[in-house]
Amino acid sequence: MTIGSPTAYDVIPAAEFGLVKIGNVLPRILGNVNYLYMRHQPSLVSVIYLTTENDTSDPVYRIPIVPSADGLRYTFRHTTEDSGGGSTVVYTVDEYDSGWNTIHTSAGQVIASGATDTYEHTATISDTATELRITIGSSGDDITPHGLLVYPDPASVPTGTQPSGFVAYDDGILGTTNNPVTTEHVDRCRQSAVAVLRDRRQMVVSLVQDTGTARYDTGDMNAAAVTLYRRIGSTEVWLPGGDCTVDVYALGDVSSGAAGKVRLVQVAGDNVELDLDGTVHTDTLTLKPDGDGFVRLDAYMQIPSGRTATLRALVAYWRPGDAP
Amino acid sequence: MRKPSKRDWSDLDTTSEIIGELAAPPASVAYLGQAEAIVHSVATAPYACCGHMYDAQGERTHAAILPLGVNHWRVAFTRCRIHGSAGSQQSPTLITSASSGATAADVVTVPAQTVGTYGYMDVTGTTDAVVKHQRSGAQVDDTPAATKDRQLELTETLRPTVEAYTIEQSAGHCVFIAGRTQDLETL
Repeated sequence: MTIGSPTAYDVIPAAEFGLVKIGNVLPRILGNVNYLYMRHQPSLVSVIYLTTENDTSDPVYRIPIVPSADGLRYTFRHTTEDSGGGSTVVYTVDEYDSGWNTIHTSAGQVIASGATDTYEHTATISDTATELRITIGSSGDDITPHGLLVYPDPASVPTGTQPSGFVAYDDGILGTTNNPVTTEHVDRCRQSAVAVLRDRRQMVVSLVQDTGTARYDTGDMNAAAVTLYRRIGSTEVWLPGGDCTVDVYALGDVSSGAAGKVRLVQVAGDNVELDLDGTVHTDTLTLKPDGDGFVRLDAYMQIPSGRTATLRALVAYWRPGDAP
Repeated sequence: MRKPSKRDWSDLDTTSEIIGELAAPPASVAYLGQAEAIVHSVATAPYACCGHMYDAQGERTHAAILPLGVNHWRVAFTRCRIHGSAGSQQSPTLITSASSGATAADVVTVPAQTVGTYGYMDVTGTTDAVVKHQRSGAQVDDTPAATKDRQLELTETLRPTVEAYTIEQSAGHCVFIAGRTQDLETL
């Protein structure tokens, strides 16, 4: 018995349905189920850092995540620019899973003067992890971190039923001529495809800045405008499909007193408000894309009186099939 | 001919089975079609295109992972500046990618609006900032003789592609799919 996966999607011509034995086509469909496990790769994290230019402070970014229930391996793609004179950068990736655990530390990555370098690696994220922490150490060299992309990249198709509900196909039963086709084989196509689709949440919006010296906080805003909300970010998002709900996560802090506030707003639509008090908060936002699939989102922070609030991360995740 | 799926997941039934507990179901090509259709839909469905909020008058390098069968993409981006401040015309937003930008003529150049001097967000509390949402061009021209505002090309494959790109003069953006192959069987 072999659990394999085609290296590319096996396109089954529509003309083949009804003209061949079910036992000939079903193994190809199930092979594509295994392909989905390997190559359904929406981004778990896609961030361009709101960051200080020419930073020498070893910036640290914390990003709330909702990883796969299967404890998958992911590819991480970091991009950093040297601000002049060359740099050697060490990337450290931690996950928060009842405490911080380091899941990857790079060797020193040499970046030529003025160049932009991409460093790629894989690491497994625990199914119960709730945050990633990215530290970019430069030993005092001035750098400008650009962004981070994280996407599922399993090393192999696993045996047995996975926590996500995915069940792999092996060719031990269907691979031999005239062996039986069971109803379970047919149902497994749908069960496993939907399991993979739903298990791999897709980041739909991101605003992340350094947890040390943030580029901006409410202290940069007009002090006379206390209690008002100021827009701190604006972007369009494209969603494949109709109305949906997304889970919004925010992390931030306030210098003293009551929590700061951040809002994520669909222009002319729903909004959520989350506290900035040093812990991750979450809420559900309903999105209604326009006819072309676009949603315009704005982020706002409230200016507290006599205190300073700082947003560290604002992200949202979409899971296909989550409808309002 | 097999086209990529355009399925809308908002009506997805997450629990039902194709055959389930039906006793002694008849052999049916319909079951096979249902089994293949859902796998095809997931394999070829577009991913959500993440919106990024940041602050970069200069260049930002990033990458997007695009699903199989994509052959063109565009960018919806945000520019921000202080309304009415002194200064000359804003620099255009330039976009290059691994598959589009090998020569200077390949650079996608999106014209800028003509007020103000800054490309920053109004996070500093400026009361008169202007936020402008734009999209890169819809015209398809994969071999431009000169820089222009157009779609970015991508080689179609039967697996997802990580496409690196840079974008200048923006305070937010979202890479979105503009074109997909018409027939997956040709790839």
